[in-house]
Amino acid sequence: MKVLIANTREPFIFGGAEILENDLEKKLIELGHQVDKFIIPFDHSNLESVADQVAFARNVQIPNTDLVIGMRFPAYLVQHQHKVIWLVHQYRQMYDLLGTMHSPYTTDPATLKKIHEMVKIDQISLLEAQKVFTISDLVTRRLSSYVGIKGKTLNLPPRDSLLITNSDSKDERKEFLLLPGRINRMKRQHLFIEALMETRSPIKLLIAGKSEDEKYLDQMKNFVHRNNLSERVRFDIRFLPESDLSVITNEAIGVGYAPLDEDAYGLVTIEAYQRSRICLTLSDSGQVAGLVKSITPEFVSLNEKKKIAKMLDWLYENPADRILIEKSLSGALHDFLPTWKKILGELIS
Amino acid sequence: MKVALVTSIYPFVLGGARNIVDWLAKELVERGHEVEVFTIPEYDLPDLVLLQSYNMRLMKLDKADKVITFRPQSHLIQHHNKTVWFIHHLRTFYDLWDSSYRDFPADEIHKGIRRELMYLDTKALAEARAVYSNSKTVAARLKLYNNIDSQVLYPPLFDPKEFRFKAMNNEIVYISRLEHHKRQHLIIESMRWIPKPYTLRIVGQASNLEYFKYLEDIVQNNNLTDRVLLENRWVSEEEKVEILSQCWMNVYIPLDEDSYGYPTLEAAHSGKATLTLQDSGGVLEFVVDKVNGIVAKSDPKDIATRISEVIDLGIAESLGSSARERINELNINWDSVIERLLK
Amino acid sequence: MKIIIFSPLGEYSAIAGVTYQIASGLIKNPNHSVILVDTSQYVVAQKEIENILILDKDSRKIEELITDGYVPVYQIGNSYENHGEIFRWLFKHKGIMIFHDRYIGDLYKGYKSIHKNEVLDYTYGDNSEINFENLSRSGMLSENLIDRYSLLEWLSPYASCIITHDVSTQSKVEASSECRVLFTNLILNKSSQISDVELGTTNYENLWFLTFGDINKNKLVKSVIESISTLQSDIRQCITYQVVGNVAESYKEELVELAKSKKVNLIVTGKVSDEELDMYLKKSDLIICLRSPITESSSCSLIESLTYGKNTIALNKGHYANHPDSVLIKLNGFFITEELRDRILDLINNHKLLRFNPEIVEYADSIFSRESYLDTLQESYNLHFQYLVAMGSIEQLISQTGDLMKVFLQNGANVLDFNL
Repeated sequence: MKVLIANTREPFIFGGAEILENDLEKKLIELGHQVDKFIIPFDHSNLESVADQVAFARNVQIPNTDLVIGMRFPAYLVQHQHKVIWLVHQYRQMYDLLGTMHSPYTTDPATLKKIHEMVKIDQISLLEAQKVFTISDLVTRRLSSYVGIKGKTLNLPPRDSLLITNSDSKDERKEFLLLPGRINRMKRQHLFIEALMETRSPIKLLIAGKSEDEKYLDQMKNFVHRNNLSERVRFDIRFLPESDLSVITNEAIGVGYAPLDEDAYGLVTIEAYQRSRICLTLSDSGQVAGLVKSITPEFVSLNEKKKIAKMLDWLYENPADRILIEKSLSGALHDFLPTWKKILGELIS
Repeated sequence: MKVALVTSIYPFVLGGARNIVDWLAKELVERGHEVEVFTIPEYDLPDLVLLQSYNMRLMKLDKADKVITFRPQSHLIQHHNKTVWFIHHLRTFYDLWDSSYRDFPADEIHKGIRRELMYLDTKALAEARAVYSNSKTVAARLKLYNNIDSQVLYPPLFDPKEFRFKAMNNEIVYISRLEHHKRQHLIIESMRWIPKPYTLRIVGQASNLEYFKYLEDIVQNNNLTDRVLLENRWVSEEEKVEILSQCWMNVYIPLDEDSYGYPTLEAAHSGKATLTLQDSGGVLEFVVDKVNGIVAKSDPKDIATRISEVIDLGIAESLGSSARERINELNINWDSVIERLLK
Repeated sequence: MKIIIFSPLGEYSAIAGVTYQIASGLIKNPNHSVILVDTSQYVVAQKEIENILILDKDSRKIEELITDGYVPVYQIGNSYENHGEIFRWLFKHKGIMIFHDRYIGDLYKGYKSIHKNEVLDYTYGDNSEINFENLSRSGMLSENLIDRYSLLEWLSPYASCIITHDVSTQSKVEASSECRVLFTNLILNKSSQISDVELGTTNYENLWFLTFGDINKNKLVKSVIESISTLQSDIRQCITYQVVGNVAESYKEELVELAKSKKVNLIVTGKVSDEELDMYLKKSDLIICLRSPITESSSCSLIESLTYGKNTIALNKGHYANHPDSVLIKLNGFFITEELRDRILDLINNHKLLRFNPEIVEYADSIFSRESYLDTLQESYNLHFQYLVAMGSIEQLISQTGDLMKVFLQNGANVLDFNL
């Protein structure tokens, strides 16, 4: 079958939707399908430009294609007879984020009218699809309450062909907690730094990822400097290729990932488990907390410095127990998440 | 620099412009730029042409420092720093309007579409910082129809280092899709007069089996089965590299093609000369008769005569090495390409 | 081309003349098909031209032809009497509009008196038709007011292509129209064959000054009379000022009264036939072609004067300003009476008057070229179809987004900015 994946990029922000898209492409090809991609930009820095971009997606004409799999707004708005949605990203700024500081939209009647029209198109596009899946229960709930569409949860699967650096040698481990992934306020890397002040062990932190918020990064660096933590906190600010991530994850004694109210289980979490590393998170981390809770509930902490510090100390002070747990992580993850076989079965039936 | 590459695609048809975009993306990343590639499906129905052209105006790429567009109608995008690497027009509305390729009536409405399309293309191209075309033929059309001055920018191979000279056996090769347009039949015919021990290898995917059967018949009817190896299959990059590294001469003889074609370039990187024909179009922008290759008349006997000349004079290797030099003469390399695109 | 021209077709309409010129020019080419429809309220004496079909405004064939692909061409002028019937088709069938006047207040008034229209009320105010009537009648209509209340923007959004005869009208209309706006000079409204043999040389003892056209206040006839009266008597006596064209009895009386009191030789001839006008034109030494305010975008009278190679005086405003000093004598217009007097003196004292100036004829032939006009019409015909397909595509694009674009545009958002 000729399958066209319809996806969106926020220009020059490498997000992670590409990873899932590439994995999906690979798996479809393995199954004997032909795959091509419809990729459009989405720059939502002002409301007016959003209207044009919505119109753009809606009017793209697609020839020679048996099935379209739409993954993100506004690409999935495209019209096609046979369309399936695997919703990775909605346009939350007009839904649950409306009225908060994360949304650029005011709530005056004129703006609400405009948003109403965009919501209508969103609804129509989703209703047009033969099937609507989402990548997490949270997104499914949101879809239902804000858009009135019944979707089915189809969680992110484990990464296919993930580079995993394995070593049994204990010497390879360096005593730091890895905080991978994009650096911005929502990802809350600073919570772990602040928690260091309360630790009794000399555990270190390695913050490795691309910065999306220079101010936030500077604030963290200043905090480190002011509180004499420079020996314990290291920053590796860049987009890390999979090979590098694999190596440093292997060296770490654990991974820290505590974003605020995250949509889905998170590639950081999934990749950590696939690489057999314990993941530390917070109870208000949304679906990430949900996944960690299902695998290792003891590593979901309340958002309090002392409690976070306790987790950090445990990792440092209990290597034997830690390694035992690590051995079970990957298997547990694979049991918990859907396989690609299941996913493709649902998407293409 | 933040560079956005935007092209239209006909889904599931790869090659050509798609390669250029993907390869350019990789080369740009290697040189430290941030790159995004956007691919927009384009439906080639005449009544949808204007809708899609206007639609392109709605794309927003303000975050990019530079936008480079490729296949039509991607050049319609609005951006303050747009460079167009023009691959081809929607030819049924341009130079093929008066041909059998136009499969819609020339009524007032379609004439209106044509004029409006030309107006839109002309305006959009004039907005660009620079317009490059992938051959002189395309550049001429841009000037004639849109009054646009463009520079020719030849697309390099992605990884030319793979191609190399290893030896020269007795094989004349033609690696390309098997299509009437590519005229494999002419070179097979010419084998009737080409002296032994030279053989011909033709390999590629046939887009229609009728043509392949036609070629098989020519081989049979002229008792050339021991001189001609004819295969209908896809060829991998590795195999292509191997074949070209050892062959005696490359053949590329399409009818009136826009650009010189990757086969010509691949052969040149392998230090092998290409034989082409007087009416092969853009191939003649690369191949210069008796300097770095052969330009014969589109007649099997003449092809054979010219090949025999090369045999007698023993100049195949020197022609091949001149072909390799031609690559530099024409600046067909990524540094040069990127420098000009990002200006 | 297949076109239907909606135009006044009566004998005394200058625009009718232009329409006939266009039609007869087109039918020379068998590929063209032209049909005419009279848009005047009261159909009078139409010419008949071979091979040109004139359909009655009530004929059902008109709709059929339009459905069949005939493109409407609307001649648009200020007179409701001449153009009023266009509204049967104008808003329903997009076509090419040719704007002859810069100000169409009378046309608007005529339309609005009959048709209730909330959008017009909202745009121009309630009872706007009365206001425009008062404006026209008050004598207060000035260049500035014409610029501000031209009303062309009322009709321009409904055209698929617009032709104007004045460059300033072109730029003004471009701002309010969706379609492309072309400019071409108007043409003479009849076939002309001028030869200088009959014209003779200027006799400075017996000079004939001529003003022709629809004789009303804006032709400034009274100013001309005043001006001539200020000349010294020996010169004044050599001048006869003839006024030719439709004139109201009461106004005629006023003019005659004034001339008598000022001791100016005035002849008010009234409405004449083409042949008679031809004779008067040839015989005249100076044409005085003043207009204030200038409601037209081009003047048939001016074209005629220049085509006949005549010395002509006009104001240096509006479309008159586009012509070089070598072919048209232009007044600044601040003190018309004095300026006119000075110019007349200059022309007479320095013997500058020529009954037939070949330079002026050459200029007129090149500028007011029927060939150019037909080329522009062909271009507008092509643009008409371009407009239809372009708008069709854009409408399709918008329709795929429900009311999204409407809501955004209503709130003044800058969407759908194609910049093309």
